[in-house]
Amino acid sequence: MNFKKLSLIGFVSIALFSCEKTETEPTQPYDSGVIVVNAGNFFDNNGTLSLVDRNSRTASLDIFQKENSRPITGGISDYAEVDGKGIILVDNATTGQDKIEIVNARTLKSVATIPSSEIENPRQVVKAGTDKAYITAWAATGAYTDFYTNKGYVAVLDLKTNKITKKITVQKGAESIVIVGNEAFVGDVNDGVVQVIDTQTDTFKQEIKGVGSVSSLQADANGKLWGFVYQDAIRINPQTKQVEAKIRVGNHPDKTPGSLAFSADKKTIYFAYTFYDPADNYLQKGEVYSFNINDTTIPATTPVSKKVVSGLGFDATSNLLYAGVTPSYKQAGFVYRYQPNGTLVDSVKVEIAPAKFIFK
Amino acid sequence: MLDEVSVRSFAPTRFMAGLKIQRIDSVSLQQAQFQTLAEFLNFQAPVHFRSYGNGQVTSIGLRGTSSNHTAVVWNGININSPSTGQSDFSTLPVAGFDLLAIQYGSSSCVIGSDAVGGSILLDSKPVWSKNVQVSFGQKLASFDNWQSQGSVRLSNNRLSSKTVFYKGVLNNNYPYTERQYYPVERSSTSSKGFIQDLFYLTRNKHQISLNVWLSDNNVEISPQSINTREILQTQAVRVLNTYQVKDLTVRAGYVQDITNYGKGNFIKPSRTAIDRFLIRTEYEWKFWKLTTHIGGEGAHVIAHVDDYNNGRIAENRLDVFAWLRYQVTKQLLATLNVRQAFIKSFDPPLAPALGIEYQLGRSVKLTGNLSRSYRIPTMNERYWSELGDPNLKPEDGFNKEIGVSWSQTRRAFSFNSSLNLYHNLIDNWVYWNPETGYRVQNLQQVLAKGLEWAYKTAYQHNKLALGLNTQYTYTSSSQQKAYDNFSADVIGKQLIYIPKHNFTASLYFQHSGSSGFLEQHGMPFRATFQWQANSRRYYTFDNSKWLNGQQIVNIIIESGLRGKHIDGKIFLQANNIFDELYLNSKRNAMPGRNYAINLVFNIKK
Repeated sequence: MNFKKLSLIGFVSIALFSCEKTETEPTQPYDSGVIVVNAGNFFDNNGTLSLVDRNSRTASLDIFQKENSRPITGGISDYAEVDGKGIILVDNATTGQDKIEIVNARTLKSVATIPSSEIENPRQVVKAGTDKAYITAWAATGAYTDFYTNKGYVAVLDLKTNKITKKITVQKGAESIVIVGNEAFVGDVNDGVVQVIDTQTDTFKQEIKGVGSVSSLQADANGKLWGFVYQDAIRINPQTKQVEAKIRVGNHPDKTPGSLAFSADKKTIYFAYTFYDPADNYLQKGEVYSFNINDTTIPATTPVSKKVVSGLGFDATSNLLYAGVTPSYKQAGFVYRYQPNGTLVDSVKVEIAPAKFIFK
Repeated sequence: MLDEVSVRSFAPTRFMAGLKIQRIDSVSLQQAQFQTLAEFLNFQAPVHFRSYGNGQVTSIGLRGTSSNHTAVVWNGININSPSTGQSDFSTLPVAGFDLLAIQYGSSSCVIGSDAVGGSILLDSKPVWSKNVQVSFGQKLASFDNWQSQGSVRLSNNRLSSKTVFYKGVLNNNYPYTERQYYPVERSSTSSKGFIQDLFYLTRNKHQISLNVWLSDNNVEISPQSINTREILQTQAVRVLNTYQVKDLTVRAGYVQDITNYGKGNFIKPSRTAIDRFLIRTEYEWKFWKLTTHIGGEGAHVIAHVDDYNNGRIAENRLDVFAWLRYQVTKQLLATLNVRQAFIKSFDPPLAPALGIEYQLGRSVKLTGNLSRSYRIPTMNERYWSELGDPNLKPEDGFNKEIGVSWSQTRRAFSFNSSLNLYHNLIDNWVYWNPETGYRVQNLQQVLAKGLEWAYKTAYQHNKLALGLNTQYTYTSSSQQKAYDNFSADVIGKQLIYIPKHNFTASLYFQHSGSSGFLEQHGMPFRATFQWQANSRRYYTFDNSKWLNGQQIVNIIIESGLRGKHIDGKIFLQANNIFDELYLNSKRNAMPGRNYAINLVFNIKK
């Protein structure tokens, strides 16, 4: 008995010791910094990830290619890191050539590839539990007259086996996804509803009707969900499944809000407010504004940035707002860094169409 | 007399003094009778192609210009689609014509709109000798690809007829879905066509000719699923009727281009149908050392395009031109040409050109050419719903070039080498501006300049023939003017898809049977190596992203047997023998090493 206890203690101490050992593992190249998701130009199939150092004005380009000596062969519709793994959603312009690349988040080295036979038109990825990610997908699209011809789905990715274990059928054009507690809320770009999935059982739970096509869904400091529907900001109460607030953004006749990003305390929302100017060759014009989650009006009068942005993110570590700018889809984009009050700090040249930031 | 007549039926290169013209020899054309112009020209000349995939849309660029700056001229008429202003070279089979020449540099004054970077000249050639020949050809290639051809040629000293049918399928059943991690796109292409060339000489030597070319092409991308496939159908009807009465030539032509594009069940594809009626009259007279050629061409174009605001657009075009060729002395030749095009609501600039050729001694020739060129914006550029702009200005180019060529024959050897330098400044360059959601604008000024070097040598002695044909080009083509804050990253950068360095070489070895059966019944054994190489091609305007440089090598081996009334030839071809990875413009991998066997039988009376 004693011997057994002793050996158990010995085993535990070895385990602890080896744990310590892993903790002293040298830092890896992607342990810190800002990963920029460059969506790429659709028919060029050239999405990439760049790494921007917080203290430098140059970026490391195409870091997936750099670490794996092979390309990402499509646009990147989304990237997220879940329990030490990076999940890259690859959207190729040709049907049947999409895939998901899974990498070690610290080294960017490839861990696994989910082949195109398993996924079609992946849109967004989010952590849905320990070693588990949810991926929204449109499935195959059709002709322009009936583009979202198939029901969408949420693919359940098991990061222990790196396999898709289930596909939960949801509404057509499934796009944005956010997890609150044990529920996933899925918005779309077609049906105009939000569907709720139980993340414990991976099953459809209920549908919130009449929401509208919500471009992004994110949870604030109070756990309420925010998104934009055409020219309005909406707030959904995840408990009651009700749209609690619907606030017209600004008063411009054509501008619409987008690229929603929360501040570090999740109490301020930054957003792009843009339109295509018919009087000037349909150039996209607009600015970046912000509002507080307790505001009852969103005047959009004092811009944080006067740039048209293709993506926003807030870095809690440096307390800076990151804004992606896309001059065109045929030219490298830029990341502009701002203080929360809108003072420009600097800019960094990245790759094609910077759309999202992951702060590490 | 006959020569005079036959010469005049071809594209008027006689008035292009000082321009570089590369004529492709008939042996190369014969080797390539199952190929498309896209596959063929890539190894014949340092032109740059932009391909969407094997058997998919492939457009050409000459001398640092874009795909709608090359006129494709078939028996004297420009067959570029008026909607896109370009030709899809994957739908033009080499079997469709008898003569092929590449003309480099601006020649708008002779050819008309589009010929800013150059032109591709395709001609049918009559045979004025007694001949009856029936031919059948079959190609079998890797990936379940095949093509069949049948032709009948009949001729005597008054009549010359050629009839060709062709049909081919590229199933592209690749044994791989990726090459070095790049996807290989699934697609299939089927094509068929019919050609009829008929030339007739009347008793008093008037020539009447009829040229007909019908083609039908069907490309499916992702054909594995009916829900997700993408289909592009293109059909063309080209009919040309020519009367030559002494020095007067009258042509009447009809060209129809139909394109249907759609996805899935293809019930409601997006349709483009363009009918073009044209009539051209030319008169030429020679006085002493001066040849004068004047003419006019009228065209009526009717476009039914689903994606145009109106759906239907009709327009009239008129061109008048005068060309002079002056053989000043035996050594000195000059041409002076001028053309004016008229089109409702905007007129392209007057396009003059001056060309000079001077023969220095026996073997050296100096050339020079100055010309203004123009391009009428395509109907898509003007009328495409929302994106097009009917008020676009025509592009306006000014091209300068000089060249020197040296040719010499010594016993069994012949050499031919040339060096050309050009400088082509193109204003009002029409641009589908990605910053404004691809709305069309006259935004850019582009400067294309470069150097072309060609070297050809051949040795022929008894039954042995050897030859080497190499070409190298350096091309610098860039945007010159800034138009917004971010364009600083774009100014002076190489235009997309145009490599700076381009190289082609072909080397052949030919030997005829020397004794016995082979001497009597064998056809020459010929081995040809083809090599094409180019440096990286940028695909973003700021040159931050590119497709790597590539090198592709092919081998063709041919031989055959010949009887009194029948002969048979076999061609064995290995393409991309080093299995090079190269990408198309969707950044999908093009096929690796692949093979083809071509069999051709001719039955003669």
